[in-house]
Amino acid sequence: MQKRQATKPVRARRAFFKFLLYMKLSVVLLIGSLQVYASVFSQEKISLNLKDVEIKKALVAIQQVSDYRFIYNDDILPAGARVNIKVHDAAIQDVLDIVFKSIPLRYQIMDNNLIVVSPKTGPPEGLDIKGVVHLRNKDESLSVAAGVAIKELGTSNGTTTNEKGEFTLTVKDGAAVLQVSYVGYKPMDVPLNGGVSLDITLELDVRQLQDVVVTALGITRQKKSLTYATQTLKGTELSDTREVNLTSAMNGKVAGLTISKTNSGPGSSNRIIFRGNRSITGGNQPLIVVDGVRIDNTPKAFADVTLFGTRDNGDGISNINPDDVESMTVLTGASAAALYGSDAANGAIIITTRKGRAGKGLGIEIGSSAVLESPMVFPKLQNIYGQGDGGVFVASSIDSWGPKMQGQQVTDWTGKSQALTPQPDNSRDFFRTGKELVNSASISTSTDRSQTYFSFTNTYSNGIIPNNDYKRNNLNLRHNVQLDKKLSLDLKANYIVEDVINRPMTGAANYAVATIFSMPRSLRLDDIRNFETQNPDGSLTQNYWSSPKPAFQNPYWSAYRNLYDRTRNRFIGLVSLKYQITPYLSIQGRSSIDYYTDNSEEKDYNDSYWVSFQGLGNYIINKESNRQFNNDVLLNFNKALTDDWNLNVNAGASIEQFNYEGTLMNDQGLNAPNLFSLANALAPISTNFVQRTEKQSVYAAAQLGYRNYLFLDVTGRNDWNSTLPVNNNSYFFPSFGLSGVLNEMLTLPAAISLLKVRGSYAMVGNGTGFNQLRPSYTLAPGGNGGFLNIDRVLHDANLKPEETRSLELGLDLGLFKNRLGVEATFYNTHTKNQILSIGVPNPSGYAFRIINAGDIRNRGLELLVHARPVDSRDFKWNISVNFGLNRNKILYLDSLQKMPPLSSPETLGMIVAEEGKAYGGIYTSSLVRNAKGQVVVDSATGLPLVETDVTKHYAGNYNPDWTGGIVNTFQYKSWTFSFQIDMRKGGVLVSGTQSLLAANGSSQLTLPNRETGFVVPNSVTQSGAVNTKNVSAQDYWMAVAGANPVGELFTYDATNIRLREASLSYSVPARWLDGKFLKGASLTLVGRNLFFFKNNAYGFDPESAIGTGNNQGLEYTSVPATRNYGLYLKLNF
Amino acid sequence: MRSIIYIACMLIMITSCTKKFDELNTDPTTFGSLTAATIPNAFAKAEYQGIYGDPGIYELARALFPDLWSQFFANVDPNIKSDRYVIIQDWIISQWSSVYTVTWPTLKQVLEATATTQPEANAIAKIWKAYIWHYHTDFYGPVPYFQAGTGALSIPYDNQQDIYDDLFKTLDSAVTVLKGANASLTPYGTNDLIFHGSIPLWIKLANTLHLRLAMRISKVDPDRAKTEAEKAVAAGVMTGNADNAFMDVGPNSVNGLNQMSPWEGARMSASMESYLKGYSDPRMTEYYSPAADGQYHGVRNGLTPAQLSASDKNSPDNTSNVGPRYSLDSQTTNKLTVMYAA
Repeated sequence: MQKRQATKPVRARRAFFKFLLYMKLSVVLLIGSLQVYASVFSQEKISLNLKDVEIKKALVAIQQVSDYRFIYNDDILPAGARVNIKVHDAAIQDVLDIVFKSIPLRYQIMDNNLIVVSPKTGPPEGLDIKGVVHLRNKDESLSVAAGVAIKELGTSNGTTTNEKGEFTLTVKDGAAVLQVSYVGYKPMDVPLNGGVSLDITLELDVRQLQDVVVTALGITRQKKSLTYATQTLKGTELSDTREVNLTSAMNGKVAGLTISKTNSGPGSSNRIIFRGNRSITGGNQPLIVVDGVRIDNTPKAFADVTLFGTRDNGDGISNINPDDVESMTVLTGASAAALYGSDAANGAIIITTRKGRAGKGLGIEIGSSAVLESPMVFPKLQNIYGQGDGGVFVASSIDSWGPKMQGQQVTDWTGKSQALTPQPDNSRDFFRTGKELVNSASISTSTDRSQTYFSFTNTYSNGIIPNNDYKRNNLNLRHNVQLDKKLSLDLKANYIVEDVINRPMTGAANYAVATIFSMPRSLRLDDIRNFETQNPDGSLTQNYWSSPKPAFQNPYWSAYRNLYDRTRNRFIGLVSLKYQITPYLSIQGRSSIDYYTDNSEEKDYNDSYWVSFQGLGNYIINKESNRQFNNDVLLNFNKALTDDWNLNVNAGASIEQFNYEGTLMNDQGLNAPNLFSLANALAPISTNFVQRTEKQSVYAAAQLGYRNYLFLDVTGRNDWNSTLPVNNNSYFFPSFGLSGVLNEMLTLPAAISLLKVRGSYAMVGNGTGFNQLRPSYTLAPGGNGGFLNIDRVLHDANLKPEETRSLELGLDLGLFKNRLGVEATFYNTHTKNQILSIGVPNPSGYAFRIINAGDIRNRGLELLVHARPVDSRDFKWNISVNFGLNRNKILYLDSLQKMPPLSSPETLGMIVAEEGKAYGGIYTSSLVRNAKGQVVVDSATGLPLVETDVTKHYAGNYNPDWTGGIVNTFQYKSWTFSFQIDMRKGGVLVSGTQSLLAANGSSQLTLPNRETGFVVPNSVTQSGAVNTKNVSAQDYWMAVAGANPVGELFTYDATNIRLREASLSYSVPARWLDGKFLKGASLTLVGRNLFFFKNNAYGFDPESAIGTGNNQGLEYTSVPATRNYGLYLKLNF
Repeated sequence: MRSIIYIACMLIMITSCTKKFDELNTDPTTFGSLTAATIPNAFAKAEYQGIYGDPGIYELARALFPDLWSQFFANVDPNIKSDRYVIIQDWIISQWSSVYTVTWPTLKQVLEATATTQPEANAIAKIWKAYIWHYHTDFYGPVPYFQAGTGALSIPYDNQQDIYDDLFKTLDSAVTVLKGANASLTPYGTNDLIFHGSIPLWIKLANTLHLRLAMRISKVDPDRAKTEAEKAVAAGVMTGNADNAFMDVGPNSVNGLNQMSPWEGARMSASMESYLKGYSDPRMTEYYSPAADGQYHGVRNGLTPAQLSASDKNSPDNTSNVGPRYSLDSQTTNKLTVMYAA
């Protein structure tokens, strides 16, 4: 493919403009020089036997037996000259020396297998010059490379640099101009002006680098040949934000991406959704591939996350070190992922990590950053009424329904007499300033034949909740070596140790946050800090202001006496061997493993209220191992069939095996208090879990290119999936794509530098989870000899594979030399035969059943706009805008059930999949209203009647209408300033926090008519009479909020606009460092999640989620979202 | 070096076998159907679940509704709205789902598995079937009964008359089998958490339950009630404490009421206080504990949050919690009550 890029346009032009050959040669050199790496090792041996043939025929014969192409003007070939060639396994130079021995022509072998033939007009009076070419890298450091093309303008005379970047050349005279070019860098014309020793520096051409895209199976392709939408982010765009979780840095930068966070401290999971939700009860997250290795990104949290919340044990991608990332390609659609198979039905994130660059010698990079974190949003709390109920101070109350705080003396829960005064910061002060310290060092070395990259990164972070810490060490070794001319080896070893200490629970189970938000407004944090009393028998008694409650306890007790430590050891390894059989045929074998263990330990001290074995404490150990083992072979054929046609075929086969084993040991209470050992168990239970799946696949992809402007893609893949019934476990899915680069096909106005249309259609099949086809009966401790638990799920032994069909159409437009670029994509996706687990009427004997059903449609638009309004040498201004809009509709669900719940029904909100509506609808409990919309109250109490049937009130849908982001980057000399604004429009969220705070009187919502009480506005009694009964504020709010809230009243619009990111960075100019030990240095001030321009949610971040499952749109006492700001220093040696 | 690639290819060829997929996709830690050896474990589960022994279910299905509405307890936690006759759907559903998705399908499979091979075990399971359904239908009235647990997704409700009629018949057939059985047999052994397989005791429980069912229809069908009651008594009902039916508890199947005793705010109701004090009932000290002042104090059912907070007398400390036998410490020893002779 690379070669075609060079030869096709040139040879095509030669046919029409033969006489312009010499002028065009500069183009050849320029383009040809982009091909350096491809051809370095493609030199081949030639065997020929020609007797007395014309020179021209000899050249044609050489072309036929080799991969070399000659460039010459017929006019210069000496008429009548003939030659004899008889060689066996000879090098090309030897063959050419024979041909050119006796004629007045010279040849020059370019790095792209082009051989330029020119008259022997050797420069008798020529000028010998020499020089060195430096390349300025992204980080402003300078490096050198072999193969930089140097050409004398207007001639065919030229050369390339050696490994040290040096070159020598004989030019006509001192007035000559040199054209210097190198792949990925802006070409440059250098006038000699009489000089004979030159020092040239090429600037990086960022635009050009982005034009190559890593696609499925690690196949690198020109962006213009792709038939579907992709988006590439550079590693620095991700790592410069200093986010601990790589995916957090993607937020707002990718069109059509929706991220929600679990907010459970450092290392928490993100839910990543491209182009809307496709699967109703399965996963909707994309496949993650790192250097061709699919890594396990299974969220380690329970799937059905209720308001109670879950322990978010992190996801897979958050282990990847952002500093190691060279680039990230986002394939948002199904067609992009047709080759990856089922797991990529939701798109794919393809990460390429850094490796040593050929010809750059030794490089060392050291980075260090410190980021501080503080709560960005906080619930709106009142500071007028203190602890108590019914307007009376009650020392043991959990509510703030007490009297006005006026400094009156009261005997409070500590037994002391203290003034009843507002404690406005008692909630806020519980949180500490979080810290993220990241220190990294990397070394890369390279020779012609091998490149090595090694990095070490240490990440240390303190969450904003006391005693919540995060540590991660990443070791990454990458070694690429050319074993011989045809065989290359790529080795990678990645070792990650992650230790998360006391990761907070999400949802109501986060007792610390639930208590700290809702506690009485008059409590002093200093009193609460004294959280325990030691008893003579060694046990502890928690100091709490009320009687034990299963939902609340002293927040410091939660932080220091309910401990949870989870350690992950992860090894990711890759061995890849590639054999270049001929220049156009190669075979690659790859073996990769992603193995990790998670060990967790939970210690709950005695007197923890919510532990079932109350008063006894508990100890739980959980050990899990996960292994993703993949092997594949890939055959690549890439050849120009004729001058115009090029064919690129990839065919391969793979086996993917996943294995999970888990053991859980639960003491269920401790005999001796606070001795955390399995031997001290009160009623131990241990359970083990197994999951194992395997997928075998064969696949092929062909791309036919015509004149490098029209491309046809065809792919096909067949999977055999162990999770499906034997009769249905094989499924085939094809894809087709077409793209045309119109500006190369037609004559368009000069302003249009790129106009490409593309379209593709793809099918992707999918299996299901492990062991879904038959019932699972399990034994559990209980009774006198154990209990047998039957399966509450009705299984279908004849499940069919899921099927997603996706059509996408796109347009790429570049104007004014690509200073303005637009990429627009429309897509329409149907997912059918979905494998769903839906709730069923219980009298059937089952709680759920697994079915093939559904037709979910997602259609939408993705838009990317890039502009460079100012692009001068000293000042550059870049704007990047992205926009994503998705419209979802469930066209068909099931013959029996039109609205199965996706979550356990809860009065606050139930998430449903409803036929005829968009996925992710939220139904809540509501106030009973009459036909006029008036609130109906109970005539006896004056309190609103509550409709607790959650199927009656539709509150909205949790998905945004659209998302967008704008990134502005200003670069002035060595200074760079950039900021990013995100917007999310639409979607609703139901806030459990707000209802909790309203019920216990700590929310500002509860202030109106506190002391007088009120008649429920616009209300009537059951009989229709006007309601005149006064209710107290406490009775009202406790009736509509609290443990069983009226979700309708706590539903908020999730629309928000925020300053996601701002950074200012200074790079020490390269010229100051030239030739010194230090090659580059930069300092960046970075801020993330700085503030909201607009936030319709009431005192919380609408991106908050209870878990990463499909159960979104509910919020409950999550850890506040944080604002981050810090400093990042990077040094290159 | 070519050989490495060949080996890689070979590796893929060799392992390219989908024949083992079925085995691979089977969880070795579970089994796919009820095995003969685990029938007693299934029966034990049906027993424990059948009286809502599990603390979570006990709380939602009993403590927060029937226990309050029958006024054994009142609740002093202002957030417990069910004491004010508010139906909380996501709590009350536990009664329904527990019977239909756990207790009944488990017991039904035991009934099917023992139908032909173990008549005595089958008969005991039938008695338990009558026990769980009489509670369930008395809770809701007409419920899906005859076709429940068949896997059909649309199941009709059955009227209570038909359900009661079937329960009588079920008890009759069970007692007939057990009376003809060798009384030394102990079906399910100790996995029968109630009588450890004692056939004579199960017969008495069946007849006593028969009598209870008869009494419950005495207002709607006096004639049938009379017939059934006389039949039950003639067949031999529980007569003394030795006949009482209690269910074993243990470390992993505790007494739910014990476990929840420190939770929420369930306290003696004013109604219970009136009865027990009014009749100087000696059970007071067994059922309830003294409040902080050493006296027994109840609280009225159905108080609003403001009413609850209006007086310190309604606080958890100043009202009577459950008695000492229901303390947390006794959760693994205080047996669950199935039926008393009294």
